Amino acid sequence: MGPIIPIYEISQELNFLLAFVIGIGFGFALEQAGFSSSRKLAGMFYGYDTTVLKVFFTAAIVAMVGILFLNYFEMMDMSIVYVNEYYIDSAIIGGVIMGIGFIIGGFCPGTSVCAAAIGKLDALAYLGGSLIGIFLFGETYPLWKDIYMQNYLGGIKLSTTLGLSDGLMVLLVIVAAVVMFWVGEWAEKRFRRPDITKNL
Amino acid sequence: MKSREILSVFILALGITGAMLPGRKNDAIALNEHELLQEMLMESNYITADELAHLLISGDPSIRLIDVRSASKFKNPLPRATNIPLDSIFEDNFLYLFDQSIYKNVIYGLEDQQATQVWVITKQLGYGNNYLLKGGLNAWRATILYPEYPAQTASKEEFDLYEQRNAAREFFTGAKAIPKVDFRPIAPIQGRKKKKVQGGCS
Repeated sequence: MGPIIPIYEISQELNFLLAFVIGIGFGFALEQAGFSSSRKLAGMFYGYDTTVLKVFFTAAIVAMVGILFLNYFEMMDMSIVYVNEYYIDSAIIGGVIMGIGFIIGGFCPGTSVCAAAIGKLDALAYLGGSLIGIFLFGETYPLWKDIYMQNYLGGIKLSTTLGLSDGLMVLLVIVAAVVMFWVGEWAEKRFRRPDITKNL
Repeated sequence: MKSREILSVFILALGITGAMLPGRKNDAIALNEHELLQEMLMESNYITADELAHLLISGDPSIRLIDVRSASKFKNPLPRATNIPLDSIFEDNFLYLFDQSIYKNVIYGLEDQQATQVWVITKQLGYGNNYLLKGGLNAWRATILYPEYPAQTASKEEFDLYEQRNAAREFFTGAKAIPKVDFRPIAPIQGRKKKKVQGGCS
């Protein structure tokens, strides 16, 4: 079985078009899953709504299992899949800033665009704030450059770092996901907030 | 059994199956011997010295020259060439130069051999935008730096090409212009006209 899409036969323009279509599909799925509601998203931190955890963990394990099997059946070459490069310091500092922004604003960058698309004012304000932040970061980049670049590890994978096979890593993440799903369900019952409905 | 429990069992079963699969290194991207031969025969993967000279003179910003000779032999390179010796192409500092879609990399060595080795590796890794300078630096020297004067019997096109190469030579070496080639087609030798026999009883 050959690759699903031979990369030599797909132009850069078509590549962008595919990315655009997938992006629209992603936005649509986020909106349908209720990710345009900041209360639903913030529920993750308080335990009354763990949809975020369930959706993203599901997406991760479906993608992992898919890639694992497609690679095994030679329909996809995992060695050329782009792995995001890892800058430890940037990841930690960025993660903290993003987490604070998430709990204050009630959105993460992707969901804010999603909510802004259906006209939510708080999302528009959040998006404006993100753009100002991006602009300021860009303008003051030389000041942060050293911290930004520190402890660069390249495009590493967790499985290779831990010395595990990709298959075993996938299984471990699935086990973690299933455990977290049950914890999420338990938390939703424990910290229930009947005053927060879907309409909010 | 609730649907969530069924889904949990299903995904766990998939995970266990995945974990038991033997690791497989996929090579969908690598070319097989037929495809590689086809690529090697394709003219579009090569660039001639004349074409390169034209691109460099016209100031094409997308051209990046990569000289694969060893550092000790890296002498008199092409203008603004980057030296990436054959044995260090996999170093982090260099590999990303081959795996990109912004520049057209023109790979060359003294001759074709080393550059072809690098080019084949880039092809096998699935990197695009890498081209070979046909004949390497020797061809560049023979064609652009020391162009050969065409034979007297050569066609006008050959003389034009010679002039172009001379102009390129001036551009790259700062050499003085060689007087313009005086191209005069060789006229056929005319035979003597037969003289009419004079006198007699004609």
